[in-house]
Amino acid sequence: MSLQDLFERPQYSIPQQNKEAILLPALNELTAYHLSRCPGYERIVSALKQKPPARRLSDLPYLPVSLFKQFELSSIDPERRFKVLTSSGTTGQAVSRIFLDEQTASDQTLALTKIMTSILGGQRLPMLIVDSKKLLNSREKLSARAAGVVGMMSFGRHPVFVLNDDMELDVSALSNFLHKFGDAPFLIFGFTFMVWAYFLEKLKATGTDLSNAILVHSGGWKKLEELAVSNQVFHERFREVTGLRRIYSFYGMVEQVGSVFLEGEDGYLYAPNFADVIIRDPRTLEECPPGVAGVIQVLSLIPKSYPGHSLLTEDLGVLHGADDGSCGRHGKYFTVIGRVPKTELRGCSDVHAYSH
Amino acid sequence: MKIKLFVSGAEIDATELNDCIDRIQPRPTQPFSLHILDFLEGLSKRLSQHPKARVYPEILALAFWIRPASIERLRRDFQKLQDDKSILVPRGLVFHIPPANVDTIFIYSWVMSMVVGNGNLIRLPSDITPQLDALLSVVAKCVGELAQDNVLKRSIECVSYDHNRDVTTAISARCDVRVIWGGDRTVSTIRGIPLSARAVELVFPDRYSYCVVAAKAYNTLNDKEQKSVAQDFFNDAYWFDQTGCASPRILCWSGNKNDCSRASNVFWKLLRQTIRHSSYQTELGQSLRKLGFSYGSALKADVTSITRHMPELDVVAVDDLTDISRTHCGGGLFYEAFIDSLAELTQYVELKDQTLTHFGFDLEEIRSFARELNGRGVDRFVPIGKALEFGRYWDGYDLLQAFSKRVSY
Repeated sequence: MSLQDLFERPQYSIPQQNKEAILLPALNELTAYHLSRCPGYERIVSALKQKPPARRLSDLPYLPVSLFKQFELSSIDPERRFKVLTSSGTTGQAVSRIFLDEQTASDQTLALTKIMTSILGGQRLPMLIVDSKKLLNSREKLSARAAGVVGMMSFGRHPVFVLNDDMELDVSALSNFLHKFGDAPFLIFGFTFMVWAYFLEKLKATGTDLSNAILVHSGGWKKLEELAVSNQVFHERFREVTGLRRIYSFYGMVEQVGSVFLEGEDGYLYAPNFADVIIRDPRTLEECPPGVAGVIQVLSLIPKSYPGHSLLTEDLGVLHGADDGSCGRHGKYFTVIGRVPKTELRGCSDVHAYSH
Repeated sequence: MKIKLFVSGAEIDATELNDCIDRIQPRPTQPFSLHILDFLEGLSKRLSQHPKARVYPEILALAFWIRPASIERLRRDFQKLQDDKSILVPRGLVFHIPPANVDTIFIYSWVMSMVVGNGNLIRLPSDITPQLDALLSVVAKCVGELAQDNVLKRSIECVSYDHNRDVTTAISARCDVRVIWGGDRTVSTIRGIPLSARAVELVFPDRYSYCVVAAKAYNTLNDKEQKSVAQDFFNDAYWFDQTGCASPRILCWSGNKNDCSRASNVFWKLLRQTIRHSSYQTELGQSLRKLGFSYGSALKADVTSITRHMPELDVVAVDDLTDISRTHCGGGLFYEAFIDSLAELTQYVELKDQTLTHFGFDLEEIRSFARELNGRGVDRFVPIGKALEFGRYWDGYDLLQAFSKRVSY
């Protein structure tokens, strides 16, 4: 089955066993492709014990995402570089650099479309963006956050930024939008923490009705966990305050384009037809059974211009099962529980550079 | 800004700093005076009876190192340094700047400075680890218990202050010796702060270390002896999470291919057992950092295989040591290389290389290899198992000499 077929079939419709039978040869083919096109990838994989082709998904070689921060790994000639993606990172931190050619870039767009239309339907809905317009004003290249917003804007129409330049809720923009579009389905998009702190928290007083909205959000739970806000609390509060029930978070990363793991109605994350996850013990790197927390490995058929089809992330997650999710989706379902803790190094060398 | 004095327990203003320095006796006694010997004996006893001594091996190691027999050996070495034309006298006030992160190694250079009769001012790192805190508390207690008229009473002080160049500058202007431990950046930053015209400086920047084992010699050992070599290697590498300057990061097998691969197979198996029997455990973040490091090394060096034996042991085999970068992730990751002989190492040695732990070579081979290197790197050759044993010779210095002035007559 080709990638096109996996795009065309309804997402989340393939039982896990069938899906693995489809993904395995395709991923093996990608490994072989990158081995022949990316010398760095070849150097690494040829040093590993496990020789391709893999007989199970969990035997596929994987690269730690951190490698893309230090090295340029690419399977295309420089003149075919169509787009360079960079990860978000605080100043001074190394960022990943991911090279896309036209094919991979268009597959990435198509992949995102297939995933989003599974919850939004085929039509572009009116769209509220929980962010400030100034996000897009930067003359420099887009930040990762801005790129996320721009990516989502293709699924909406009449986009309205609902925060002002000071990140405060623009009440009149919101009420104008709701006046025009509030009676039919519309889309809300934003980053998890901002949606909670700058949007929902400010809506408490106003009694706004968002029951027709579909909220899509991403960005991680770290800040919200500090406020003891779980996904469940997030859902409950939105329902209580605004009547909003259709909430979908997603998990994804710049380093693996097109693999976006979207939340189902049961609150778990699901892999689309062309991607999958494996949870590994962060110490032994062995595959973890369902229910045991480990580091998340992501697999995807999209990355062709760079060897990113099998990556070990620095995020911890738990697999909860496959095919038996209560929302009816097929495939593995999991939750993300945070980052792998960074440990301090000991020794004589500079860990914190000395300054006076 | 407040400056905390760890030994006297006081807190002073920056304006009182000069008074504080004035109070420190720069040359409290003669080298190896009875006052010094008594103080160190007391300190050694205290440390060995410390309730945390079992938890922090650093404490026991220091206690052992300053026990009377070992100080007596140092004293005799010191006597031998003097001759019928010259004597050694203290330099004066020594300003110690330990690394910004953990590590108690600077305590040893403080002891070396103290035994030859200097006064000492230590600038404490901003993050004081429990083991360092335990050590310093015992030192402070021992100083506190000295009689009021004991000359050592006012010869030691530890200061801690938030990063402040002015304080470092003020002390630097007044000290006779400045000792800098730390990364290369720390060393060069502090080197920019002037010393007085007659002062000297000792620097202990980033270093890199490795281990060479003669494969044939290893193969002829019996089971028990082979195990004990693995145990020694474990102690060298894992005690400071493989991040000490002297912790081995490369293991070279010297000999023909067959001997090397036979020795290698046995050794890693025994090291795995040793690790399993120890309490050493790799943390999650460290485990992934090692993975990233080993994969990254395949992009830089001539890597033939990457093997995770267990979370605590990754081995990156290389054909050639040429492109091994002198950075490291720690936590139990070793480059492994087969070499024909010690001489083959000559081309790879760099100035940054500090300690070479060895097994299966006689002293003459080591000496001629050191001669061959002729100062291009490796300041220290020690038998396997002794990498972390501090000695009078460190990073190319003879500390007994370096903390003293020679007066000729």
